[in-house]
Amino acid sequence: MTDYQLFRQIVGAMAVGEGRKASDLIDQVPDEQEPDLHTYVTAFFSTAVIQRLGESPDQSALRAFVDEMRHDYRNAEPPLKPMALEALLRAFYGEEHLLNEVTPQEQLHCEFLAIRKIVHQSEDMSLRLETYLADAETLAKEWAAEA
Amino acid sequence: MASLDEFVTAVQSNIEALKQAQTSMDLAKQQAEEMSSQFQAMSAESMAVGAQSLKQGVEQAQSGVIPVITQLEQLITQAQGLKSLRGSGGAGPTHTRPAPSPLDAAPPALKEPIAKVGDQVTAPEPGPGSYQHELEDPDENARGLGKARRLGRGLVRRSSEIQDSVKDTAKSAASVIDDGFDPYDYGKAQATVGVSTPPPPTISGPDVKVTDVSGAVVIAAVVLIDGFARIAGRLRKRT
Repeated sequence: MTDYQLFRQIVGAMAVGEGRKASDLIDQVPDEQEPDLHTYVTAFFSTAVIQRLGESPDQSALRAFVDEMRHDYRNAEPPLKPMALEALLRAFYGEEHLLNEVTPQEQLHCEFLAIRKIVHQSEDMSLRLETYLADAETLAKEWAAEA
Repeated sequence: MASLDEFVTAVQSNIEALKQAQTSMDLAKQQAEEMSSQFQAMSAESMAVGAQSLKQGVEQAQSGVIPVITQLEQLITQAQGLKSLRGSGGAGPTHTRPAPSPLDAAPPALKEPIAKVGDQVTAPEPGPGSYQHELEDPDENARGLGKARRLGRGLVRRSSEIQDSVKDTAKSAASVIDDGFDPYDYGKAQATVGVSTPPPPTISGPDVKVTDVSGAVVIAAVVLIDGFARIAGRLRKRT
Protein backbone atom coordinates (compact mmCIF):
# COMPACT_ATOMS: atom_id res chain seq x y z
CA MET A 1 0.00 0.00 0.00
CA THR A 2 1.56 3.24 -1.13
CA ASP A 3 2.01 5.67 1.72
CA TYR A 4 0.89 8.92 0.11
CA GLN A 5 0.58 10.52 3.51
CA LEU A 6 4.32 10.12 3.95
CA PHE A 7 4.97 11.43 0.43
CA ARG A 8 2.88 14.50 1.18
CA GLN A 9 4.89 15.16 4.32
CA ILE A 10 8.15 14.79 2.45
CA VAL A 11 7.25 17.12 -0.41
CA GLY A 12 5.54 19.52 2.00
CA ALA A 13 8.72 19.76 4.08
CA MET A 14 10.84 20.24 0.96
CA ALA A 15 8.48 22.93 -0.32
CA VAL A 16 8.81 25.01 2.83
CA GLY A 17 12.57 24.55 3.10
CA GLU A 18 12.75 21.96 5.88
CA GLY A 19 15.30 19.74 4.19
CA ARG A 20 16.47 17.97 7.32
CA LYS A 21 12.96 17.01 8.30
CA ALA A 22 12.33 15.81 4.74
CA SER A 23 15.51 13.76 4.87
CA ASP A 24 14.38 11.95 8.02
CA LEU A 25 11.02 11.22 6.43
CA ILE A 26 12.67 9.95 3.24
CA ASP A 27 14.43 7.29 5.33
CA GLN A 28 11.02 5.92 6.26
CA VAL A 29 10.01 5.25 2.64
CA PRO A 30 10.00 1.50 1.94
CA ASP A 31 12.38 0.63 -0.91
CA GLU A 32 9.62 -0.76 -3.10
CA GLN A 33 7.79 2.57 -2.98
CA GLU A 34 10.63 4.60 -4.43
CA PRO A 35 9.12 4.74 -7.95
CA ASP A 36 5.82 5.93 -6.46
CA LEU A 37 7.63 8.69 -4.60
CA HIS A 38 9.19 9.79 -7.87
CA THR A 39 5.76 9.85 -9.50
CA TYR A 40 4.33 11.85 -6.62
CA VAL A 41 7.15 14.42 -6.72
CA THR A 42 6.64 14.78 -10.48
CA ALA A 43 2.91 15.30 -9.95
CA PHE A 44 3.51 18.07 -7.45
CA PHE A 45 6.19 19.57 -9.68
CA SER A 46 3.63 19.62 -12.53
CA THR A 47 1.06 21.62 -10.57
CA ALA A 48 3.78 23.97 -9.34
CA VAL A 49 5.11 24.63 -12.84
CA ILE A 50 1.59 25.33 -14.11
CA GLN A 51 1.12 27.79 -11.26
CA ARG A 52 4.35 29.53 -12.07
CA LEU A 53 4.54 29.46 -15.86
CA GLY A 54 1.00 28.76 -17.02
CA GLU A 55 -0.13 26.46 -19.79
CA SER A 56 2.08 27.59 -22.66
CA PRO A 57 4.94 29.92 -21.73
CA ASP A 58 7.18 31.15 -24.53
CA GLN A 59 10.86 30.30 -24.73
CA SER A 60 11.94 33.53 -23.09
CA ALA A 61 9.74 32.89 -20.06
CA LEU A 62 11.26 29.43 -19.67
CA ARG A 63 14.76 30.83 -20.08
CA ALA A 64 14.05 33.52 -17.50
CA PHE A 65 12.88 30.91 -15.01
CA VAL A 66 16.01 28.81 -15.58
CA ASP A 67 18.15 31.92 -15.08
CA GLU A 68 16.42 32.65 -11.80
CA MET A 69 16.98 29.08 -10.68
CA ARG A 70 20.68 29.41 -11.51
CA HIS A 71 20.82 32.49 -9.36
CA ASP A 72 18.84 31.01 -6.48
CA TYR A 73 20.95 27.85 -6.37
CA ARG A 74 24.30 29.42 -7.24
CA ASN A 75 25.78 28.10 -3.98
CA ALA A 76 24.24 24.64 -4.27
CA GLU A 77 26.33 21.53 -3.83
CA PRO A 78 25.97 19.47 -5.99
CA PRO A 79 25.36 22.38 -8.38
CA LEU A 80 22.16 22.84 -10.33
CA LYS A 81 22.33 21.62 -13.91
CA PRO A 82 20.65 24.35 -15.93
CA MET A 83 20.67 22.31 -19.13
CA ALA A 84 18.88 19.44 -17.43
CA LEU A 85 16.35 21.83 -15.91
CA GLU A 86 15.64 23.48 -19.25
CA ALA A 87 15.29 20.12 -21.00
CA LEU A 88 12.92 18.94 -18.26
CA LEU A 89 10.74 22.05 -18.54
CA ARG A 90 10.62 21.86 -22.32
CA ALA A 91 9.77 18.17 -22.12
CA PHE A 92 6.94 19.11 -19.77
CA TYR A 93 5.66 21.63 -22.31
CA GLY A 94 5.51 19.14 -25.16
CA GLU A 95 9.06 18.47 -26.37
CA GLU A 96 8.97 15.03 -24.84
CA HIS A 97 12.06 13.73 -26.63
CA LEU A 98 14.15 16.12 -24.54
CA LEU A 99 13.43 14.01 -21.51
CA ASN A 100 16.00 11.57 -22.88
CA GLU A 101 18.66 14.23 -22.26
CA VAL A 102 17.93 14.12 -18.54
CA THR A 103 18.72 11.21 -16.26
CA PRO A 104 15.88 10.22 -13.92
CA GLN A 105 18.10 11.27 -11.02
CA GLU A 106 18.67 14.73 -12.52
CA GLN A 107 14.95 14.98 -13.15
CA LEU A 108 14.06 14.26 -9.53
CA HIS A 109 16.77 16.60 -8.26
CA CYS A 110 15.60 19.48 -10.49
CA GLU A 111 11.98 18.88 -9.56
CA PHE A 112 12.65 19.20 -5.83
CA LEU A 113 14.67 22.38 -6.32
CA ALA A 114 12.01 23.94 -8.55
CA ILE A 115 9.27 22.97 -6.07
CA ARG A 116 11.10 24.77 -3.27
CA LYS A 117 11.55 27.91 -5.32
CA ILE A 118 8.03 28.04 -6.78
CA VAL A 119 6.22 27.44 -3.48
CA HIS A 120 8.47 29.96 -1.75
CA GLN A 121 7.50 32.59 -4.30
CA SER A 122 3.79 31.71 -4.72
CA GLU A 123 1.46 33.12 -2.12
CA ASP A 124 -1.37 30.84 -3.16
CA MET A 125 0.73 27.69 -3.00
CA SER A 126 2.18 28.68 0.35
CA LEU A 127 -1.19 29.44 1.88
CA ARG A 128 -2.94 26.38 0.50
CA LEU A 129 -0.07 23.93 0.43
CA GLU A 130 -2.24 21.08 1.73
CA THR A 131 -4.68 21.53 -1.16
CA TYR A 132 -1.87 21.36 -3.70
CA LEU A 133 -0.35 18.34 -1.95
CA ALA A 134 -3.75 16.65 -2.23
CA ASP A 135 -3.97 17.57 -5.93
CA ALA A 136 -0.61 15.90 -6.48
CA GLU A 137 -1.88 12.75 -4.80
CA THR A 138 -4.86 12.71 -7.17
CA LEU A 139 -2.57 12.98 -10.19
CA ALA A 140 -0.01 10.50 -8.90
CA LYS A 141 -2.68 7.87 -8.28
CA GLU A 142 -4.09 8.36 -11.77
CA TRP A 143 -0.67 8.08 -13.37
CA ALA A 144 0.29 5.07 -11.28
CA ALA A 145 -2.93 3.35 -12.36
CA GLU A 146 -2.11 4.02 -16.03
CA ALA A 147 1.43 2.67 -15.79
CA MET B 1 -60.28 47.70 -4.75
CA ALA B 2 -60.51 45.93 -8.05
CA SER B 3 -63.67 43.94 -8.68
CA LEU B 4 -64.58 41.17 -11.08
CA ASP B 5 -66.77 43.63 -12.98
CA GLU B 6 -63.85 45.97 -13.45
CA PHE B 7 -61.71 43.06 -14.59
CA VAL B 8 -64.34 42.08 -17.16
CA THR B 9 -64.60 45.66 -18.41
CA ALA B 10 -60.84 45.92 -18.77
CA VAL B 11 -60.65 42.69 -20.73
CA GLN B 12 -63.55 43.77 -22.93
CA SER B 13 -61.70 46.96 -23.86
CA ASN B 14 -58.59 44.83 -24.63
CA ILE B 15 -60.69 42.78 -27.00
CA GLU B 16 -62.06 45.92 -28.60
CA ALA B 17 -58.57 47.33 -29.15
CA LEU B 18 -57.38 44.08 -30.69
CA LYS B 19 -60.36 44.00 -33.06
CA GLN B 20 -59.59 47.55 -34.08
CA ALA B 21 -55.94 46.66 -34.66
CA GLN B 22 -57.07 43.73 -36.75
CA THR B 23 -59.27 45.98 -38.87
CA SER B 24 -56.57 48.63 -39.21
CA MET B 25 -54.30 46.00 -40.69
CA ASP B 26 -56.70 45.93 -43.63
CA LEU B 27 -55.13 49.19 -44.75
CA ALA B 28 -51.67 47.67 -44.93
CA LYS B 29 -53.09 44.67 -46.70
CA GLN B 30 -54.81 46.89 -49.24
CA GLN B 31 -51.59 48.83 -49.91
CA ALA B 32 -49.63 45.65 -50.48
CA GLU B 33 -52.33 44.50 -52.88
CA GLU B 34 -52.14 47.79 -54.82
CA MET B 35 -48.34 47.64 -55.01
CA SER B 36 -48.54 44.15 -56.35
CA SER B 37 -50.86 45.11 -59.21
CA GLN B 38 -48.71 48.18 -60.03
CA PHE B 39 -45.58 46.00 -60.31
CA GLN B 40 -47.62 43.56 -62.34
CA ALA B 41 -48.50 46.36 -64.77
CA MET B 42 -44.81 47.30 -65.08
CA SER B 43 -43.98 43.64 -65.72
CA ALA B 44 -41.75 43.74 -62.63
CA GLU B 45 -42.62 40.15 -61.86
CA SER B 46 -40.38 39.55 -58.83
CA MET B 47 -41.44 42.82 -57.19
CA ALA B 48 -45.07 41.84 -57.72
CA VAL B 49 -44.46 38.48 -56.06
CA GLY B 50 -42.68 40.23 -53.19
CA ALA B 51 -45.61 42.57 -52.64
CA GLN B 52 -47.99 39.62 -52.66
CA SER B 53 -46.00 37.97 -49.93
CA LEU B 54 -46.14 41.22 -47.93
CA LYS B 55 -49.90 41.05 -48.20
CA GLN B 56 -49.90 37.46 -47.04
CA GLY B 57 -47.71 38.44 -44.12
CA VAL B 58 -50.24 41.01 -43.01
CA GLU B 59 -53.03 38.45 -43.31
CA GLN B 60 -51.05 36.08 -41.14
CA ALA B 61 -50.53 38.73 -38.49
CA GLN B 62 -54.21 39.53 -38.66
CA SER B 63 -55.26 35.97 -38.05
CA GLY B 64 -52.62 35.69 -35.29
CA VAL B 65 -54.70 38.11 -33.27
CA ILE B 66 -57.71 35.79 -33.33
CA PRO B 67 -56.49 33.30 -30.68
CA VAL B 68 -55.57 36.20 -28.41
CA ILE B 69 -59.09 37.55 -28.69
CA THR B 70 -60.48 34.07 -28.07
CA GLN B 71 -58.35 33.76 -24.94
CA LEU B 72 -59.52 37.11 -23.63
CA GLU B 73 -63.16 36.16 -24.25
CA GLN B 74 -62.63 32.99 -22.28
CA LEU B 75 -61.20 35.05 -19.40
CA ILE B 76 -64.45 36.96 -19.31
CA THR B 77 -66.44 33.70 -19.07
CA GLN B 78 -64.07 32.54 -16.30
CA ALA B 79 -64.52 35.78 -14.39
CA GLN B 80 -68.30 35.48 -14.64
CA GLY B 81 -68.07 31.95 -13.26
CA LEU B 82 -66.18 33.31 -10.23
CA LYS B 83 -68.90 35.89 -9.73
CA SER B 84 -71.52 33.17 -9.34
CA LEU B 85 -69.29 31.31 -6.80
CA ARG B 86 -68.96 34.44 -4.70
CA GLY B 87 -72.71 34.35 -4.14
CA SER B 88 -72.48 30.85 -2.60
CA GLY B 89 -70.26 31.90 0.32
CA GLY B 90 -66.83 31.62 -1.29
CA ALA B 91 -65.62 28.86 1.04
CA GLY B 92 -63.75 25.80 -0.18
CA PRO B 93 -61.57 25.41 -3.19
CA THR B 94 -62.79 27.25 -6.22
CA HIS B 95 -62.29 24.82 -9.01
CA THR B 96 -62.80 26.41 -12.32
CA ARG B 97 -62.32 24.54 -15.51
CA PRO B 98 -59.12 25.76 -17.13
CA ALA B 99 -59.65 27.75 -20.23
CA PRO B 100 -59.36 25.67 -23.36
CA SER B 101 -56.08 26.14 -25.12
CA PRO B 102 -56.13 29.01 -27.59
CA LEU B 103 -53.91 26.86 -29.76
CA ASP B 104 -57.01 25.29 -31.31
CA ALA B 105 -57.92 28.61 -32.82
CA ALA B 106 -54.37 29.47 -33.84
CA PRO B 107 -53.42 29.75 -37.50
CA PRO B 108 -51.44 26.80 -38.95
CA ALA B 109 -48.17 28.73 -38.76
CA LEU B 110 -48.41 28.97 -34.98
CA LYS B 111 -49.28 25.30 -34.62
CA GLU B 112 -46.05 24.25 -36.31
CA PRO B 113 -43.70 22.63 -33.83
CA ILE B 114 -40.43 24.46 -33.26
CA ALA B 115 -38.44 21.39 -34.33
CA LYS B 116 -39.39 18.13 -35.97
CA VAL B 117 -37.72 14.75 -36.17
CA GLY B 118 -35.29 14.83 -39.07
CA ASP B 119 -34.60 18.54 -38.76
CA GLN B 120 -30.96 19.52 -38.91
CA VAL B 121 -29.61 19.93 -35.43
CA THR B 122 -26.99 22.52 -34.59
CA ALA B 123 -25.29 22.19 -31.25
CA PRO B 124 -25.29 25.38 -29.21
CA GLU B 125 -21.90 27.05 -28.85
CA PRO B 126 -20.28 25.95 -25.61
CA GLY B 127 -20.13 29.09 -23.57
CA PRO B 128 -19.64 30.06 -19.97
CA GLY B 129 -23.13 28.79 -19.23
CA SER B 130 -22.64 25.36 -20.76
CA TYR B 131 -22.92 22.20 -18.75
CA GLN B 132 -19.24 21.31 -19.22
CA HIS B 133 -18.22 24.44 -17.45
CA GLU B 134 -20.60 23.75 -14.60
CA LEU B 135 -19.14 20.29 -14.09
CA GLU B 136 -15.66 21.63 -13.50
CA ASP B 137 -14.66 22.86 -10.11
CA PRO B 138 -13.69 26.48 -10.75
CA ASP B 139 -11.10 26.41 -7.99
CA GLU B 140 -9.58 23.24 -9.38
CA ASN B 141 -9.36 25.10 -12.65
CA ALA B 142 -7.59 28.00 -10.99
CA ARG B 143 -5.07 25.61 -9.49
CA GLY B 144 -4.40 24.26 -12.98
CA LEU B 145 -5.02 20.64 -12.04
CA GLY B 146 -6.30 19.66 -15.48
CA LYS B 147 -3.34 21.24 -17.24
CA ALA B 148 -0.86 19.66 -14.85
CA ARG B 149 -2.54 16.31 -15.44
CA ARG B 150 -2.22 16.64 -19.19
CA LEU B 151 1.32 18.03 -19.36
CA GLY B 152 2.97 16.18 -16.50
CA ARG B 153 1.92 12.70 -17.54
CA GLY B 154 4.86 12.37 -19.95
CA LEU B 155 7.40 12.98 -17.18
CA VAL B 156 6.57 9.88 -15.15
CA ARG B 157 7.32 7.27 -17.76
CA ARG B 158 10.72 6.58 -16.19
CA SER B 159 9.69 6.58 -12.55
CA SER B 160 10.50 2.89 -12.28
CA GLU B 161 13.97 3.31 -13.77
CA ILE B 162 15.50 4.84 -10.69
CA GLN B 163 14.10 2.50 -8.14
CA ASP B 164 17.36 2.27 -6.20
CA SER B 165 18.38 5.89 -6.12
CA VAL B 166 15.18 7.84 -5.44
CA LYS B 167 15.85 8.15 -1.74
CA ASP B 168 19.51 9.09 -2.20
CA THR B 169 18.67 11.67 -4.84
CA ALA B 170 15.85 13.07 -2.72
CA LYS B 171 18.13 13.40 0.29
CA SER B 172 20.75 15.15 -1.79
CA ALA B 173 18.07 17.59 -2.96
CA ALA B 174 16.97 18.04 0.66
CA SER B 175 20.45 19.15 1.67
CA VAL B 176 20.59 21.59 -1.26
CA ILE B 177 17.24 23.02 -0.19
CA ASP B 178 18.60 23.57 3.32
CA ASP B 179 21.96 25.02 2.39
CA GLY B 180 22.03 26.04 -1.25
CA PHE B 181 18.81 28.00 -1.77
CA ASP B 182 19.19 31.75 -1.75
CA PRO B 183 16.55 33.45 -3.90
CA TYR B 184 17.27 36.95 -2.62
CA ASP B 185 18.83 39.75 -4.62
CA TYR B 186 17.84 38.32 -7.96
CA GLY B 187 18.13 41.08 -10.54
CA LYS B 188 18.97 43.68 -7.90
CA ALA B 189 22.03 45.87 -8.08
CA GLN B 190 22.13 46.57 -4.34
CA ALA B 191 22.17 44.12 -1.49
CA THR B 192 19.11 44.19 0.73
CA VAL B 193 19.73 44.91 4.39
CA GLY B 194 20.21 41.77 6.42
CA VAL B 195 20.86 39.56 3.42
CA SER B 196 24.30 38.35 2.55
CA THR B 197 25.68 39.58 -0.76
CA PRO B 198 26.38 36.75 -3.16
CA PRO B 199 30.09 36.15 -3.76
CA PRO B 200 31.41 37.48 -7.05
CA PRO B 201 31.36 34.93 -9.85
CA THR B 202 34.52 32.89 -10.08
CA ILE B 203 36.05 31.26 -13.11
CA SER B 204 36.21 27.56 -12.49
CA GLY B 205 38.89 25.27 -13.88
CA PRO B 206 42.57 24.58 -13.01
CA ASP B 207 44.31 27.56 -11.48
CA VAL B 208 46.94 29.25 -13.60
CA LYS B 209 49.95 30.46 -11.59
CA VAL B 210 52.65 32.95 -12.48
CA THR B 211 55.36 30.45 -11.61
CA ASP B 212 53.90 28.02 -14.15
CA VAL B 213 54.19 30.65 -16.86
CA SER B 214 57.83 31.49 -16.08
CA GLY B 215 58.65 27.79 -15.91
CA ALA B 216 57.27 27.29 -19.39
CA VAL B 217 59.34 30.23 -20.68
CA VAL B 218 62.54 28.75 -19.19
CA ILE B 219 61.86 25.38 -20.85
CA ALA B 220 61.20 27.06 -24.21
CA ALA B 221 64.46 29.03 -23.89
CA VAL B 222 66.45 25.88 -23.08
CA VAL B 223 65.02 24.12 -26.14
CA LEU B 224 65.87 27.06 -28.36
CA ILE B 225 69.44 27.43 -27.02
CA ASP B 226 69.98 23.69 -27.39
CA GLY B 227 68.74 23.88 -30.99
CA PHE B 228 71.04 26.75 -31.86
CA ALA B 229 73.98 24.97 -30.25
CA ARG B 230 73.38 21.86 -32.40
CA ILE B 231 73.06 23.89 -35.59
CA ALA B 232 76.25 25.80 -34.68
CA GLY B 233 78.04 22.49 -33.98
CA ARG B 234 77.09 21.08 -37.38
CA LEU B 235 78.24 24.23 -39.14
CA ARG B 236 81.58 24.02 -37.32
CA LYS B 237 82.10 20.39 -38.43
CA ARG B 238 81.63 21.29 -42.08
CA THR B 239 84.28 23.97 -42.01
